[in-house]
Amino acid sequence: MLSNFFSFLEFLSSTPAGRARRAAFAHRIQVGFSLFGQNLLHFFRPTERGSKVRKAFFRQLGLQLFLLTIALIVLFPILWIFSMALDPRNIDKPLDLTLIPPGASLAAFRKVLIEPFPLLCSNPTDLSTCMTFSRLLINSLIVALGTSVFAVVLGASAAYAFSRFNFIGRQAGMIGFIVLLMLPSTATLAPLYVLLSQIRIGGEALRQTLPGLMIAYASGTLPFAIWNLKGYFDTVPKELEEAAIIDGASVTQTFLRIILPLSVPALAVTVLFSFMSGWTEFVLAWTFLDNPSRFTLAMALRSMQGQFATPWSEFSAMSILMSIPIILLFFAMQRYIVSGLTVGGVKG
Amino acid sequence: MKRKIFVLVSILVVATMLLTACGGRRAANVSGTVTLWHAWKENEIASLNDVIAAFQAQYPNVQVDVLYVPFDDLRGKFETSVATGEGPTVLIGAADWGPAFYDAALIADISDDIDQDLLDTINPAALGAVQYNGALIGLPQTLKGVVMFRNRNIVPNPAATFDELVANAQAATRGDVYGAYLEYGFFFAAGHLNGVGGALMTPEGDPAFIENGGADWVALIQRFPEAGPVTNYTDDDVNLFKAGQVGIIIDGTWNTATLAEAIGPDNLAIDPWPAPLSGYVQTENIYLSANATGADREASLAFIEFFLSPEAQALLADPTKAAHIPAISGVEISDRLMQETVAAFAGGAPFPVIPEMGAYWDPMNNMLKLVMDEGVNPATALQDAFNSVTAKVAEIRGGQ
Repeated sequence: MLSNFFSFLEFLSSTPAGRARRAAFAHRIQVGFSLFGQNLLHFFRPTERGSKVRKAFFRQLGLQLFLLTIALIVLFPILWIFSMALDPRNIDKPLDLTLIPPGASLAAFRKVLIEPFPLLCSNPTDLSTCMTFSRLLINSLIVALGTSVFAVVLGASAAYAFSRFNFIGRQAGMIGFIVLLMLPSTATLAPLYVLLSQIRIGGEALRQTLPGLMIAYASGTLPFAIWNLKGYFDTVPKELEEAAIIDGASVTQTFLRIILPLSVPALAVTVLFSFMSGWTEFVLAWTFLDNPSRFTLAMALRSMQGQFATPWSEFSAMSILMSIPIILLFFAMQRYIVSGLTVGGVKG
Repeated sequence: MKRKIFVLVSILVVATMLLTACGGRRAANVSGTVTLWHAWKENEIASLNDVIAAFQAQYPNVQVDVLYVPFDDLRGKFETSVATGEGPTVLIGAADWGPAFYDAALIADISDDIDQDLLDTINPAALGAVQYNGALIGLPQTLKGVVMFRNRNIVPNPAATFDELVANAQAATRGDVYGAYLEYGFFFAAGHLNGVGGALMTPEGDPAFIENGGADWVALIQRFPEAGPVTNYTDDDVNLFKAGQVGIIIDGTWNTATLAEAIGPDNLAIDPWPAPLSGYVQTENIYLSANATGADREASLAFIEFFLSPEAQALLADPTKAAHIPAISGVEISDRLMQETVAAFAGGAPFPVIPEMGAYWDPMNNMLKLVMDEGVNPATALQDAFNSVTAKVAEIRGGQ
């Protein structure tokens, strides 16, 4: 299932492999039409071949209907979000999907982008102390990029060690990372809270700062980063490193100048996944941070959800706006990401 | 000389008493920082700001730091932070959090810090929500709960009894307009058990509904379909009411503003419960953190007391802002819907806030669904629910 998804991503990409896949697809369609024309003649005939054609037809019809249903299930929430974001009524319990809502407008986007968030203020009586979309965006970028940097730098060096060196506990370490991968992020909330509260910088607990949040997020993304990168490093021929060492390169030089440039696809995947977890996480953030000036976009989105009612138009508009940087990052890295996922993911 | 000293001391005593009286129950020179965490939304924050401004006018040396935390994250954040010696000094939160917080030593017993005069002004049912194991674990700062909403255009008159409600609803039902669309989800229907003179549990939390009106309660709910369609924890009733297609629904007061906006405030009424129906009355409480010490503790206690003062409660009852139903007596309310809510709460049932309540939700709602949807014999369903609740209560107690 996962490999089909990655193949689909490759199919969409502008890489040579993507173009080849699209050409093959077009050819299959052409052949398909030709076969369809021939089979149509047999469809209504009471012959053995006619029976086979009918069976194949209904099997194909069932399959297509199933896939169409899946596509609708996937697309429906996205359609709903777009529809609600354009709905000026800001209804708190939306039950109907109206693709183009009455009086459709961009008011929700305007409000989210321009107006301050009155719940996220250092001083609630002074609106100038309230967070705005741009300030939240800056904090989110800092946290997400910081998390990516932590994950890539620490993950790559650890993965290289696990890939190339034999040491006591190597196997146990990799199994340990799997266990960490399986833990929900909230399971580590309490120990991270205590640990980061103990470390104080300038009289303030590290927990209450953005770097503290990055460290907390990196602790969750590192196991994936190490597994993914280790899988990719294993596919890089050792002969390349041996050649470099013969030429006088040190282990560090080999790692930095040979391995890393060859591993850009896996690094891109790690960056994207780490960035996404730093960008979208809010449970740890709401537990750790006490100063509204450090709040992130994901926290602001969460704050829109009320106990009894939620302004769904603004919530949807904010969700769409929040997804844009992730989409941009994905398209910027797509040519690396597809091959990175397929290679790193299958070699353990 | 002695006389001069006596006069001077007398003046100082009188001055101190006057200052104390002006500043509430604590001296106006209290200093310290109140760190308040809450999950209030925009309209409530406007009232909160008014309360803080009024408080600081009386206590100019107290700093108030406010932090909003989403409701779903507030409990976890408070538990994590206070357990590690940090967190706020004051928390505004749900009533049913209190006992668990107190058991975990996260909030303070303030029974020695609050004057009896203040306690005497608090609605007795609301006060019951903060009295736990002999301690005063906070103060109730507003009332909310389940009430009966009526669209006056569809059903012009309130009903005094359930039979009258059925008759009114049947008379109003025509075409796609229903006279009533009653909710029987356990949270919304549990109050009726008190209404028929029964009891859900003993004061200790053990199930008591079999021998205390359970059968009458289920029989009453089985009659709901006589008034119109019924629902179990869906918003179908609320959405049709908002669309002007339903005359009577049972819902929470937190939806009052939304319903008034949908059908027009003049068309909306909140009725006194028709006998023997009733609904849960809950409180939202204000708690003092167990970590509050020294000057911050004094400042926080002054803030908590002020929150329950007639002045603060009147600010919180502003119908254009928070529109909170006051938890104390003697606060004048001008808004009709809020007046009707207070009247409806008079016939309400106190919501049990002990941890054992967690054992009742699923078994009791399943029981109601089995009886209403699948026609299971009420006596059998009640006995099964009783057994299930008993087991869950034991589990909860085992985990404490």
